[in-house]
Amino acid sequence: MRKDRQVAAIERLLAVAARGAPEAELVESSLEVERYTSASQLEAEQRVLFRQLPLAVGRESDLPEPGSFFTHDAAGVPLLLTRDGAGVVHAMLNVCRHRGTRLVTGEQGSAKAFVCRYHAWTYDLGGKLGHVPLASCFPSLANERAESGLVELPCESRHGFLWVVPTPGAELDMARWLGDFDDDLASFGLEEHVVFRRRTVTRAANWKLVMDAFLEGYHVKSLHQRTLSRFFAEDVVVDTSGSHVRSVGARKNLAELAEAPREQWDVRTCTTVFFTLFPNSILVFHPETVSHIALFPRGLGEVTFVHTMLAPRQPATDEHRAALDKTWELIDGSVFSQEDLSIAESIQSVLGAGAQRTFRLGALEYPIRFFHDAIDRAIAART
Amino acid sequence: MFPMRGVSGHTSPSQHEADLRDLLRRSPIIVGRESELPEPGDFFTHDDAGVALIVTRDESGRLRALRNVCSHRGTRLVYESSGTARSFTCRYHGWTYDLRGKLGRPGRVGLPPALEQFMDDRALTELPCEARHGFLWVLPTARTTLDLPGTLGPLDDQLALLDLASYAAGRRSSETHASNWKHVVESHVTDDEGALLPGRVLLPPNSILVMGEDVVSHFAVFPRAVEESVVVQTRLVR
Repeated sequence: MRKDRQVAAIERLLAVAARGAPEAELVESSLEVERYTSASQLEAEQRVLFRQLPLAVGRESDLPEPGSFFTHDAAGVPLLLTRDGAGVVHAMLNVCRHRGTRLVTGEQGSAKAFVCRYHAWTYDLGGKLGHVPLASCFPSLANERAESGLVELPCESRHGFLWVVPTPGAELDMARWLGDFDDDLASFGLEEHVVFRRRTVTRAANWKLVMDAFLEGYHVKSLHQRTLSRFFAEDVVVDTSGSHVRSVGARKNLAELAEAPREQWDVRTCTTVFFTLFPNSILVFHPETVSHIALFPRGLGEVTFVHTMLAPRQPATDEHRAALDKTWELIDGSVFSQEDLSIAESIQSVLGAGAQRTFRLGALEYPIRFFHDAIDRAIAART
Repeated sequence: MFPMRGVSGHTSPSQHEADLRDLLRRSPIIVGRESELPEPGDFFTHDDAGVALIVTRDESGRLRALRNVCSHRGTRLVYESSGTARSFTCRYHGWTYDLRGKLGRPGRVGLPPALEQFMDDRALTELPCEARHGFLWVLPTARTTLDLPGTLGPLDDQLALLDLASYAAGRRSSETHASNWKHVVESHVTDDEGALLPGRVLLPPNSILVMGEDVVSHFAVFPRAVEESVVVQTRLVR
């Protein structure tokens, strides 16, 4: 975050603590349960959010050198990400243009070219069609080679993430999409961060129930009582940019640290900064590391949860590695897996019981309402 | 009284939905025995009917069937299958309900009227629940009333003659069958010609009693899918 925004956020947090009430923009609201149970809602989300908006599908460091590639299927679109001989990153549909076979079956690796196992049509790292066996059988292909390469998708690397819009020809301008938050993310130096750990799990919950858990801190004292609550207060200040949300939540040491001169104030030492980047990314700034979460629906009641923990650099000593491992275990193993994901599954398990038509959102949960309204706006604008 | 036979009617998804809606959601369902809740604070949870339930006895001794779903964000409230509690606390945000399903800690006093109203509005949904013949019956639809003698009709006298209230709940087991729940009910009570087997009592829609010397077996059949059912067997002993 920019320094002036850090100081402003901390001042607002101190005011919230002094007043003992959330900021006025945070109001009580409600949320329709049908948003989690309707098949047509999910269909619209998949068609718009996961097809027409930028999705973080990996890190630029996942493609370390020319020839590196990985595949990505969680968004419901078969993606192939490559780095070509000139170092340029490409995102393409992982589908042979001849008879529609899945082209690359592995998850990641290094290649000089991609050969379809059905009839051996070959594509280079940029997706251009190369060798076609018995090309004389395809006289029409001679003039259409340029259009017969792999279907390329808009892809941009920003803040070290690879963002893809799974619609050919769609517009993609990450700085514009992130708006005010682009500066914030740059100031944290995310581009230079490395991947310390990554884990992908599938859990039995609607993807938005998981998103909801990262949009409010009201649950910290209860759900995270054995893990995080010893570090956190309930006070939070929330800002939005477009459909994205930034929350800055107070740690218990805030008042003490705020006695230092303003020039020394640093959000990383006395707060936790959260971003939800529309539609499906979450960033959590821990004191040293950063958690990136990408959520992808696999069905109404099933979600793929990809958690990548970034660190400013790989640990140089065993001691430092052990400390980061401990953070990883606490955050991924306990907080996310046994608490946040488990509570989403708990809600999912009784959604069908029809106990209520709406959920009640208190003032501290207002960002959930904002997120679901943003989904409605996105779908309305692109339907 | 009970839709017996007619195989096609058993297996279509739309018939299955209609069964759940009409037969199982609008009929009193046996969820356990009164002897399972001897003391105030005793509770058990019940999920087989497709409606997450807490069945408990409040401080005044009254039986309560409550939806096992927090009224805030819809989290499952109680995870244990049975136990004793003074209140139920949601693990997500700590909302706490008393044994009557009212929001707030037990014994709360002197709240301002507006806050009292807020708490009352957010009580757990209560479903009609009654003990009769030693069984606990729940009607899984809110804002309805339970009239067991009226619903049971002549069966009520028959059950009274059998003196079922004097039996204690013994061993309970549960198994899954790969067939439609109505097939399972039929196979328990009728022979190949459709005649009622001796020593069987059918308690519509989904309970069967098999009468033995000093033992009564109670079978409760619950649908899980069109072609999957759960049979919960409870042995009742004198």
